[in-house]
Amino acid sequence: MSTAIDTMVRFEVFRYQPDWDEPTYQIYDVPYREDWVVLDALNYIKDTIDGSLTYRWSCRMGVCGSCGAMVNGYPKLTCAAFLSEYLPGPIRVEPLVNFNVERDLVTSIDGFMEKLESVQPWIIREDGATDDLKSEYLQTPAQHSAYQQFSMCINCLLCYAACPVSSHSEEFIGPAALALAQRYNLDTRDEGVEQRRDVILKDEGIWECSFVGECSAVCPKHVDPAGAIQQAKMTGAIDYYRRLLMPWTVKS
Amino acid sequence: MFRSLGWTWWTKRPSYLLVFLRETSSVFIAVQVVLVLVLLHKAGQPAADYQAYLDFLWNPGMVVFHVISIAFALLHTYTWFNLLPQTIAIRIMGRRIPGLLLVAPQFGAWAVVTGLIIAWVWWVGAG
Ligand code: SF4
Ligand code: FES
Repeated sequence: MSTAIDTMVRFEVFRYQPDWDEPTYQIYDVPYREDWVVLDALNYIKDTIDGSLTYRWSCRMGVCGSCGAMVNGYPKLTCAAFLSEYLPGPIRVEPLVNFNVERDLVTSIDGFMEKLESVQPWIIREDGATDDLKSEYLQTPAQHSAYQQFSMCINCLLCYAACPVSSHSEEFIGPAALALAQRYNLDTRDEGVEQRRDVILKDEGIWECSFVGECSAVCPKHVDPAGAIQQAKMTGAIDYYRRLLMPWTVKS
Repeated sequence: MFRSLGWTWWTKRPSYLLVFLRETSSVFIAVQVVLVLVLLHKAGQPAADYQAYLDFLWNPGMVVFHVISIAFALLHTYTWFNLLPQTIAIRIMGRRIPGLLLVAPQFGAWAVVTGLIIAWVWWVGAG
């Protein structure tokens, strides 16, 4: 139940349209409700003050990953950012950094989709039998737990907005996509390590990461993409020396 | 319109600043390594040369540099050791072993090596 309090919270919302040279910040005063999150406030603004405000959302429960924005400079799921944490305000809402802004709070995720596809985040079988729906590939709970954490990603892209490397290199494959590559490489049902190898090890792959670690700090699903990348670096380094010192152990 | 964190990214959050300092520390540590290598080289030179180099190392600027370097070295070591559990995932019966089991041996080994070096320096000094 909403508790109405006679308080208003001031919002400074980033506004931008493709034909504008510069963005502006628009001020909206929104009534404070104890159980409201930033997304509720955006919906309130859109429904009652300014229908032109554009932003993405869907599930309202931290599952779809579409409502990410910078809230007071930090990447957050707006559906999980309670107004009470930001009192007395003002609360500044901006689109996720390190992406191109399309309009207001909406960013283009095309670049991310390409990176995601480049790591082939699906089960690859050497016999090419991935679309044979009749085959069963059994896995023990222990084998499942080896990658489970990295499979929790909801593609909200908060990790990219926290990453200074993504800020300075648009080509960097980045935290979520590399964590998903590691997720499939660790899956005992998968045989695609070799196919992902070049993409992961190229300059824009794991070695561009300087382990700032903020991606893991902001991840709402505790995926720990920074951990996934460092673990991939460890595997990559061992693999490098194995190829160098014991080439006969490497499958051609 | 691409919005980036900009070149001042490291000033924007305490966690960024800490990483920036950790990375910057490498420059100081690299210079320190060069100074030690030169010291080793000078040890094989005539005594006057060696003494001149020692005097250079004791000038106030160098002392300040070394105080900063040791602070950076401690910061780097401390933060880096604590990152190991993220880098290595050792599983026993399907469960990750606690991070402390990876962190503690590093600090232990560090303490032992430091102790041995101090003992050796003391022994050489006394002998
Ligand atoms: S790794 Fe975490 S922060 Fe990054 S996209 Fe996935 S869920 Fe979001
Ligand atoms: S609306 Fe789906 S994650 Fe926030």
